[in-house]
Amino acid sequence: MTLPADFIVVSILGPAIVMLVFAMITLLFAVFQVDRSATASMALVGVGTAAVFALHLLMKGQQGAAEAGFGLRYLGDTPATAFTLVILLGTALAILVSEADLSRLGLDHPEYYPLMLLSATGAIVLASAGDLITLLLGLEIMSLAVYALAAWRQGSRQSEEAGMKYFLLGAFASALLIYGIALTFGAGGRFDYAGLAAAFSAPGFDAHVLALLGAVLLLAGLGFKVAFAPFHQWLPDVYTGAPTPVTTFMSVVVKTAAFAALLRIASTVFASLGAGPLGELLPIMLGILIGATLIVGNFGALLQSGVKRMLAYSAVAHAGYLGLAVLAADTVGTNAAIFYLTAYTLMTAGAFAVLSAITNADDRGDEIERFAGLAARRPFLAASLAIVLMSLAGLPPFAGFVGKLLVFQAAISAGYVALAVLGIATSVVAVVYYARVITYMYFRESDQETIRPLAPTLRIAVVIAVVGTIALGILPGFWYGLVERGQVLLAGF
Amino acid sequence: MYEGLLMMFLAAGFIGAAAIGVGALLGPKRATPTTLAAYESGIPASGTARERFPVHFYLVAVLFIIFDIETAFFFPLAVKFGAAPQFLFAQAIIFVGILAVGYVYILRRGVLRW
Amino acid sequence: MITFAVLAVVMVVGALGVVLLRQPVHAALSLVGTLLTLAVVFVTLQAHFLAAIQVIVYGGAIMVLFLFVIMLLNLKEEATKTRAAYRWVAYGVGVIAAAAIAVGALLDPRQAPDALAVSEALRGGSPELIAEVLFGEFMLAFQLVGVLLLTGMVGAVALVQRHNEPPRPGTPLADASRRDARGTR
Repeated sequence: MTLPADFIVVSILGPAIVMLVFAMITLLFAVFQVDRSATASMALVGVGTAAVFALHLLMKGQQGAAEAGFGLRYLGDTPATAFTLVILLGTALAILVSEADLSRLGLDHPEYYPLMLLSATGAIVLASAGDLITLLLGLEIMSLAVYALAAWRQGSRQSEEAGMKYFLLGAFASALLIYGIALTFGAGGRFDYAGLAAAFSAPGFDAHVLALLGAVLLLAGLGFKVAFAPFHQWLPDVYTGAPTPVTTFMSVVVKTAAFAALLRIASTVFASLGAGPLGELLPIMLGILIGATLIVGNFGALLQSGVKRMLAYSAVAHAGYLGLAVLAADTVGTNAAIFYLTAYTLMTAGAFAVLSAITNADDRGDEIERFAGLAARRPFLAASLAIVLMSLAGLPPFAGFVGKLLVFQAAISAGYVALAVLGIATSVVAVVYYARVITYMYFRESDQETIRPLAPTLRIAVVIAVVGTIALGILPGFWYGLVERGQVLLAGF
Repeated sequence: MYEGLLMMFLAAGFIGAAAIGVGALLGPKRATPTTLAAYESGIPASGTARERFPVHFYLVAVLFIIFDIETAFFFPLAVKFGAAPQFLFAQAIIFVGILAVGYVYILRRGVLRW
Repeated sequence: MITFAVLAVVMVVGALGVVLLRQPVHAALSLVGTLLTLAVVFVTLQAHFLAAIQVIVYGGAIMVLFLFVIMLLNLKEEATKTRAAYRWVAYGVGVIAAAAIAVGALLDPRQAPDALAVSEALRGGSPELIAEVLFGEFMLAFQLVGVLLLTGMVGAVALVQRHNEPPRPGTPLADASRRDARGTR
């Protein structure tokens, strides 16, 4: 039991511990029959408290005093805390969207918020992980809760299929990831990224094949979670089948956490393999995945008639753009990804929030015809959806534009010009399918369908998303500068 | 090194094989419907055993495994406990505390009520 | 080395049985064989505590769950026979991937350490050594396992117990869920 003196650093665990404690409190609320809206408020308080802790850590990073603990197995540096904040933002938006609709949608079971908070806890651990074991546990905590949430709608085949499909393919992905961890450990003899990177770039290192195999399996396992093509096939069915509030949660929080983990591994373990004799292979594979993702996601979205499914394919497409930042595998790429994911969280949560205000109680009725004449009937909803969709399409002056600019810049400066050009080309395709919804809302006759009044929490969520999307688009420097000035532990090997 | 273990396995295998073999060799064989029916503690068997079971059984099995794994972690902890009692005790308390919340939840949720 | 080769063959045959046998119960028993053989491999690696855990947790508890699932589903004969047409592609990809990994592992130029040295370092595979690592270096992972178990518990209970609570009146799916609840209990 001899540990270094500064091994245990509780402060960096702050956001995760707060989320866990509040998950437990809401769990006890659930069984002692406390009112559901009180549970939701408690969950929001928990997210807010965790955000305070995360902001404190972010400020420490600004002053160059970022900490890591447990032998570099858990990190509290700027990327980790910035991703934590994005995860908390996504969780808060998902709670707001949920609270508006839970009882109407028939999803009102007491474990809803506890599972969401537990999942967010896992996501934070995943985003802060500095070693493969911590990564795996964070991933499993996050995923287990989301599997249950995806199947949340009782008696609905779509929802049950979504949960089952997500669980089976997720388990398969975990198996690949665990195999990758085993092989990586076999090659490097360590679990922590720092130790692995050091071992892989050490002069006498000769287990290149094994290390490459491990890295490929790690990439495949995480590729499932971030939905790189061809590992994206679960995503459209799961996003469409899961209840809309749950889709909101997984499209933003799960994606953010998985990308945070992938970026960290790419900039340490993968980067250290790059110097070896087989080092060229890994970026080539990643490049192929990203190219396929960009094409499959964007053209898939083009072919959809349902808006929810279109947004699901658009989530695949955005994984491709974020992949460009992973490919860059440096601090510039990581910062670009943080900004992109912040924007993505705001605009995707906003889009799903509007969607949940329009669709039926059983999540059906997301056909594009439903949006005809929405501008005349519900100008606020139509304008909000138009703004987030334009941002998703990457049009200025919204946040999505700056995000895309940053990832293309990162990819070009890392020498992946062809993929950046492909990204720009597919962005043009993206404009088509997002614009189609806007056209329906503004230039089609309304069929005079009545839409129920907007729940107050849903309105708050939409306002946050829209204001955030515009603010990040006009003043990107505030958030990006904060991230850029921060301190990065564990990079540049 | 593992001779003892091997002897035990052999003995177990021998006893098992002997019980079946001796019965097959020496026992009377009268195949009537009554003797061929499955023995259900004297109660006549009704229907097939291959029915769908309520999912509740499975839930109890899952919860058993969860607490089984929890226990498995305490074997090494107990062995090493003397080396750093307070430190290990604190870890065990946090670990049990997390799962105790789950236990309270299970009890209150009526999972163990039949 | 010979011991390992024998055990490896048994394990691979067991694993193939899991995939290829048509009766789910047979596949599950095949899996028991694989898991127990893995326990023996742990014994040959001097990891006695791990071998015991492997038998208790995997060979015992987890297998019970597998058999439960098979009983719960109770697939009829015809349901077990349908197989995807492109399964041969899947088999091919699996075999190639497994072969690639095996070749990759065999190409590893490093020498395995001497068995006696391993035995010495592992102190006979006592739980003491695992405790040193688990509650020292990996103490965070240990606590995270607790959180993971809690999450699994809540998720499993949530998915089952919702059938037992009366659906709130006025929810659109109240009727559907009531029907569903009768079906499963």
